[in-house]
Amino acid sequence: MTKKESLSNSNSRLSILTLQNMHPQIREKCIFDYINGLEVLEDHLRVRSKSNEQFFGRVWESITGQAISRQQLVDQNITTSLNSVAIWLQSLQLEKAESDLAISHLADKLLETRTALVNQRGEHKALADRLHNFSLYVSSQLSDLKICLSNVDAARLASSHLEQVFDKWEAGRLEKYPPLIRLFLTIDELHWGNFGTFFRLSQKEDEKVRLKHQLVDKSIVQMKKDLGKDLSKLMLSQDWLSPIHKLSPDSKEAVLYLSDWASPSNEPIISAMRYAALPEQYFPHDMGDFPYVLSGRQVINHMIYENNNRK
Amino acid sequence: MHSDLIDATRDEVLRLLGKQDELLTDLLKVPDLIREDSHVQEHGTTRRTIDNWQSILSNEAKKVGQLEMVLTVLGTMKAGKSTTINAIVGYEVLPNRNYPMTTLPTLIRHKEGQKEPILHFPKRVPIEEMVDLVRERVIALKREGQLDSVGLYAQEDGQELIDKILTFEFGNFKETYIGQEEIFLFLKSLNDLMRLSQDKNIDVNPPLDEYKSIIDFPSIEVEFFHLAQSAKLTKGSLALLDTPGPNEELLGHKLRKVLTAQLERASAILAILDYTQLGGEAEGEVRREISRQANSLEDRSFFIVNKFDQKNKRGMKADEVKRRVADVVMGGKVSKERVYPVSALYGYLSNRALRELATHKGLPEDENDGWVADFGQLAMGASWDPEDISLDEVKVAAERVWKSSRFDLPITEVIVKAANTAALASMQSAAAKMIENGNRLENFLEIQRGGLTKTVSELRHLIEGLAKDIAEVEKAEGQAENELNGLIDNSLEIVQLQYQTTKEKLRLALEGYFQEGKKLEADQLLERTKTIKEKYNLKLNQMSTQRNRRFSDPFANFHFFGAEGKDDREVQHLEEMLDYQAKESLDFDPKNPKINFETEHVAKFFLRQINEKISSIFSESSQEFELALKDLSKGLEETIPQIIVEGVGEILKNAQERLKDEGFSISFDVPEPRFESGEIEITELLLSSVEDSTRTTAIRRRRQKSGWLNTAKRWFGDKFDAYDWGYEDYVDHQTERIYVVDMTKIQERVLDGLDDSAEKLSDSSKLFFDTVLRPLVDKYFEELTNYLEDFRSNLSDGIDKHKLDEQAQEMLMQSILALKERTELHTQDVLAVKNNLT
Repeated sequence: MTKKESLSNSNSRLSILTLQNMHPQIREKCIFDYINGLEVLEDHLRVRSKSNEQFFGRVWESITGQAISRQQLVDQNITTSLNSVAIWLQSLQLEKAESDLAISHLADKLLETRTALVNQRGEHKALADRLHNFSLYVSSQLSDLKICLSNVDAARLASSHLEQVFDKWEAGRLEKYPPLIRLFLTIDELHWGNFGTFFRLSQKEDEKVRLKHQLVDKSIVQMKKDLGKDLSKLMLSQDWLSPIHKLSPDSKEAVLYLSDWASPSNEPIISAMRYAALPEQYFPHDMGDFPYVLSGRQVINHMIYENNNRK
Repeated sequence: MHSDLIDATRDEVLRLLGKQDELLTDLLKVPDLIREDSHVQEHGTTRRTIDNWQSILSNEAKKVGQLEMVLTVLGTMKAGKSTTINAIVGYEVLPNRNYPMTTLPTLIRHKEGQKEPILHFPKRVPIEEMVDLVRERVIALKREGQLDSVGLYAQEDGQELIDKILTFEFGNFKETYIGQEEIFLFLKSLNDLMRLSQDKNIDVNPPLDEYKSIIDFPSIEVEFFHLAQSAKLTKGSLALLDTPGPNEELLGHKLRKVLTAQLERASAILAILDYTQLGGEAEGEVRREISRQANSLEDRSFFIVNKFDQKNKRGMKADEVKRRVADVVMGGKVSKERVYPVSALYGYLSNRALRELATHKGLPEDENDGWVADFGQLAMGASWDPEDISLDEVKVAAERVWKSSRFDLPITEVIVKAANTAALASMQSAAAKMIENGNRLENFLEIQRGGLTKTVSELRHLIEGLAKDIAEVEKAEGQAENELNGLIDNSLEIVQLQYQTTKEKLRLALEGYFQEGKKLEADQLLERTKTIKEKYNLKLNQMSTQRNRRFSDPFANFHFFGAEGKDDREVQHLEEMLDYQAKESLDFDPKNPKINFETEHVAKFFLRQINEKISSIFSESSQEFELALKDLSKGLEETIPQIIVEGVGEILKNAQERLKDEGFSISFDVPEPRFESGEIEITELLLSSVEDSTRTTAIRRRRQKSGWLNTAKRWFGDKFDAYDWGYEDYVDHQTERIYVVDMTKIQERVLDGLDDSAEKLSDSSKLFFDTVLRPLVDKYFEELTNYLEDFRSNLSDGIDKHKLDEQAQEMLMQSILALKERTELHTQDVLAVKNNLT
């Protein structure tokens, strides 16, 4: 590796770390994606590749110190290699997920994998046992989470998370992003943390309603400050989206990565935001479902709605 | 709103219309959600309901998409209205004449590719019926040998028209007229017909009431050359509405009403003023007319000051013109940026030339088209030689003339404004419809959602509750009617007051004139006595002188004997006259209403003064009256909805609370009764009440001197007629002719006529309520009742859903919740747009 390459790699690692610090949900999503990456089919396993492989790889490396573990797993061809499972399990044991999404997803994935292994006529008992133990551990983590949610603390944690995330916005730590992205990142971070967990797992509907209103109110206050105008005024869609072109490549990548779940038909606002962040500077002339004009208030309504409905 | 934002908002409204349509389609796909239509149940939300909503959305999308812009052109024919229109079109689509040509508002619509103009006249029957009535009058006059009493008969083409009417050659109009010649002939015929109908010996009312909507007017389709290039026109269609100028208003009040309605719907207004008349007497009249016609429409008005080409060295410069019109003529109500000094003539000639060059690659031969010579002279002066000039040179010259016409800027700006106004209007309508649909949809889904969480008996209980609410609403209707009756009665007291005030003014004026007249009479008497006394004294002196001469001149005696007798008789006569005068003076009663005048011209002058004063009082009063009634009508427009809604507000509130207590989050969004501007038109109703109730379209009417006097007479009864006031004359015992003006009779005619009109007001009140208010009240309450019945029906549908199994109910609930959320989001989006549409 040349000095230049080495320097470039260093810079790249630094920027990934900076991004992770700024947006802790990147880490959670990465783990989640990692879990998701293993697809269990009838009698073999496959690793699905995703579009943001490069970014994912860099994040995973920064989390685990393992540069190429997933790379090894990425294989467009069907593989029956149990090594894939072993490596995957190894990686997961190194790094613990914190979000309920990752944990519950992991539990499901583990079950799938175990079932698949069992179907391979019990030849790989050792691996199956390792899986079994790990899955017990994960299940207990999930139980703990659910217990935690049933007591008063959960709502308080969610509220506290909400404050914390909006404090970050208010303090100007998102200032390099345009308003639309700031809102997206804020809601996305809430989705991955205690706030989102509370909404997914709690049965306390009244609290949920209260917290939702609080989210809306805080968004309104912050957007109003950022836009410097009445949120009921309509703005042209290009005024919302064109500042996204000017973001740094890393920031764009982060945004693209975090929003990769959005589809144009169901999440038109977030999808349009993605288009604007694409490196090719593709700004679609046919906006499809993206509004031609949009007020600040509408942006908030739509962003919350699209996030609520994400699968 | 900025133009770009308007365009984008328009696209957004179209998108939202599509989204709501999509939502409704998805709604129909949900199993077990929407009831099929049946003959039994009329209310509730069925497939047909959804289809109707979708059809409404489709219509709204068409209107938003089509963007029809209408530029209404106001002004006098003398100011160059026709030339202005022809300049915009680039073709002589309206004849440039010296006399008024527009009798009906005429639409001139831009149609791409339409090189030759076509006129469409869809609503012909009312005019044809008018021709029949005119024919009856003409036949009657012919029978009586009085055809030459008709003013138009003295003109060659007038006589031709009358002859054709008699022989039925005139009277059947076509649906279309193709080409300039046919169109001009049609317009001229229509104009001549209108002029003929207004002749005092024909006196047939034109059926203007039939021409209320823009689709009723004659319309000419032709390609607007120069401006067809404008980008704005590619987004929609542009039409000019040519309106009769104020001095073309033979047709008075009804036409004014038609115009007012059209102006309010205009996307933009072009008011044409005459540069050469600025600073002159006509200015005030122009201001009054434009203010009257386009009052409160200043935000859409553009002022074209035509004939700027006639400016000389001493004339106002462009900026001075702008300031003059903005600040003085329009009293500061418009900014000078909206004022444009132009030359419509230059504009027309150059635009026409450019059109010919583009279409026919050259200018036509000049024998039939005088405009070519005019253009040539203008463009190139003495060096114009049609035989020896290249097409490029002509084009360059034409473009130069176009530039110097200064026409480009105002037209571009007007079209932008028209596009924006038209866009806003259609968007407001679409947004309102989407919100209405959205509200109904949300309520429907909420009822279905809530219905799944309630038991059947709970639902039945709610249904019964709503039935009681509906019964309460019916009671409220009766109460509202009573209150409204009271409101009208109170309002008409104001009218009575106006009458009394006017009556008092008239009485005082007549009293004043009476005093003046009596003073004149007394002075006359004195003067006469003085004159007679002077004559008498003179005679006596003469006689005395002659007597003295008799004594000194023996020959004089001879003459004296005959003359002395004559003198004695004269003296005696003078003494008798003096006695008579003395008696007259003694008998003179300053309170006697009859005023004697010695000369006819003094009597006439006196009457004329009274006449002018009375006319002036009536004129002033009728203006005040009309303004007062307009204010009253406007006030009623605001108060009446409040009264209607007040009555039901409590009922709806309770119903909503009851549903809320049961867990249904419903918002009753009953549209308030709204009146179209001018729908509460008391003035018209009162006018019709003071007129003869046997009036038909063929009624006789006296030729009116001016618009205001016409109205005044209608207000205060046309029982008085200045031309009939007169004097009686008689010969007194001295064989002097005396002219007597009887003030009692004048007073009776004026004041009693007024009382008659005032008495009819109480009939007006009932008429007003029955013809205007009751239908509005009925309509509102019917809609409200239907609205509540729909709720009941939807609750009833909720009961049916309990027949589904648990899994189906669960899936239905999921679908309902998802649709509800989408609907709420959509409504929020529409509201966001609607709140920005100003």
